[in-house]
Amino acid sequence: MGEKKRPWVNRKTCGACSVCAENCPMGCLEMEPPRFHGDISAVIRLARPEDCIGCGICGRVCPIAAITMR
Amino acid sequence: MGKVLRINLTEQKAEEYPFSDEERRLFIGGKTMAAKILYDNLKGNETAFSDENMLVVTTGPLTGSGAPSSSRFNISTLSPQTGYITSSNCGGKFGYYLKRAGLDGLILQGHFETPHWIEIKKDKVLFHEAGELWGMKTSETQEYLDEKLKLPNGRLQKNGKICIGPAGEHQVLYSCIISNERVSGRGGTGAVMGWMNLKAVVASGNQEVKVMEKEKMVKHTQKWFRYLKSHPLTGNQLPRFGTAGLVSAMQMRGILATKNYSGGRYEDFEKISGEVLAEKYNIVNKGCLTCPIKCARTVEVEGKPVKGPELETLVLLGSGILNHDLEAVFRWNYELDELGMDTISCANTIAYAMEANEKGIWKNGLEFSSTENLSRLFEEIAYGRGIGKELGQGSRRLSEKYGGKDFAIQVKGMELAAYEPRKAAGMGLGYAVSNRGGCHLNGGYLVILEGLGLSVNPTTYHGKADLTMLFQDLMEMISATGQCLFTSYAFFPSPLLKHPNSWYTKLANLVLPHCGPVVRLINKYPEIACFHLPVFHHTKAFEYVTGMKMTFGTYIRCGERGYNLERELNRRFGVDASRDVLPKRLVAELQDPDSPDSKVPLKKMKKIYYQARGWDRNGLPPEKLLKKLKIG
Repeated sequence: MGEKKRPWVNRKTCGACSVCAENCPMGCLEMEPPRFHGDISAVIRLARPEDCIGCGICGRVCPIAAITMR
Repeated sequence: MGKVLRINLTEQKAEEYPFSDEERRLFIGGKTMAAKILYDNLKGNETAFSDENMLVVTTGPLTGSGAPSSSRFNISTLSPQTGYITSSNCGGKFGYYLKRAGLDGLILQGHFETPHWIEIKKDKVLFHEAGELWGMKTSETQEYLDEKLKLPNGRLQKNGKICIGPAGEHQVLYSCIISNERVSGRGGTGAVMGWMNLKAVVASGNQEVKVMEKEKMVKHTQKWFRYLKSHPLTGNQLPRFGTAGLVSAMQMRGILATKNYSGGRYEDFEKISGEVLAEKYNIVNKGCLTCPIKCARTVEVEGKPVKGPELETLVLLGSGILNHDLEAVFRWNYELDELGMDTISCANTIAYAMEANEKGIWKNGLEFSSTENLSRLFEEIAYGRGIGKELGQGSRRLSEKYGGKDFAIQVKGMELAAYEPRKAAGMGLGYAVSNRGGCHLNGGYLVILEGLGLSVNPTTYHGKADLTMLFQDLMEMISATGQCLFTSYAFFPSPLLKHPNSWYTKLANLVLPHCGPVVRLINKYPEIACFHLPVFHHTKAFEYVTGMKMTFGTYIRCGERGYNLERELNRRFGVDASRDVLPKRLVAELQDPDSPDSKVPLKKMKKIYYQARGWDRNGLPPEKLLKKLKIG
């Protein structure tokens, strides 16, 4: 059996719209915290990889196909 | 396509409301769909607090489609504040989940005998006694509902909510409806919900929103997101400073409402600026679901991270009442959201009362700059106690009782937004003719051309009427499709905003007031604008999602239809040219005694505006126009 696939967020294209995080059944995805005060480049990250069940819903609902399962 | 559900609260019954394909093609969704439903059901003799009135909650075709900033929903009803139709486009998650419950709209009518809340699960409707929920503030209400609806595995149910606070329960005329931290703020929609004895509605479901051309939509959305992120307003100013970022520009242009609109500049403006908010207080940027712009702020109130104030709140509870304590504004903003009251109308009503006290026509003890007791005053308004009972009536009714109509800053009973229009004439016209009353957004928001984006001569009347019409129609349609109006900011090509002193920006500023004939041509013959504009991604997205042909010309035509429909509906409730007026202060008193054009030339602009719209002298759409727009 192969290893479970997990979402990979393309930082360059992610629009931080949070649709993936809203739809994740396990609540694993969230906005990354700002890296510095006034940071406006934050995107979505897989915050709790241990909870991820690899269902791929996040990739399917992303409106700009910025998430792939790897 | 989702259903429209009509819920009779008195009988606790739900049934599908017929809305044909042809009606959907003409009246699209959101506020336009809601206006059509109200148009077909209200005769003109109803009152806001009656079983005949309806609270119409609608999504648009793009709601939840993946398009940027598309989690929106609209609430329209006969307003208790104005007596006319009000509409309110709101973020939060309710629209997204209403759509996922398989619904395009919800019509609430009648009233419960005792307080209730409603649960919509897929297309099932459940009625619950509100019990201890009645009386709770808005965040407590939403937390209570989350706890109540927890899944068997202990996780929170994914849902969207709308609810009212104590102000709505006590039918304060400018009480609002809250969804998460976002607000359906204007026109007293919360009071109508309170009258219905309806505390909250929760929607949940997992129905996917159908996109007709999915691959094309994904590619288009990628391009749209990139465009919004690279645009100086939607990719930089709004994410960096939020709407509050406009305070400094408004000060510079003399349009920062100060001391109940007696002036447009405030000496302590820096203390309430978006820059200070961002640098000193903002914890993290936030945004609505589906939105890449992230214009919302997070600040701390009593050690708790809460939503920061928007520009309107910041100005009207800041310079509007001569207060420069930014932290106090954070607290008041939080308190007003918790009580469920429109910050704009509340702040302006208090500013009116302060001036009435200063002038000695109503001795009420309220004074400009003296703000220590405001938190208590908000509670009094929300619960209808003491002086709060009077203040909850709004500035129009108070000025009718105590005098001072000249400085009751309202139109059609709705208080104005934060832009002092004597140095932004087009914005003044917009306030006056707006369907829902003194509203900047429904008024066309021409201030974006008059100093807050471009620098068109702000005091001239030339071209303002035609441009107001164009922008009103554009925003009507953006709202109807289920999107945030801020996506329209990107309509202005980036170079114009990045290089304000370049020859091409200066040329644009000179040319725009003379674009009236072009605007009228597109209005008359939308087929000549049979293209998609590269700076306006909305039309293509609409085509990909719905499969319906949409060009820039037809987009404007749909907006025009919506705007006229609301106007025609308002005619039944007594709206005509005599209601399209500004308070005397703004049209007869100079803001700057040395500048003879620092007042709103409303009479001139109104005449041209009616002509541009094809309305008669009394400001009403004639039969021929209604027929052309397929209204009625």
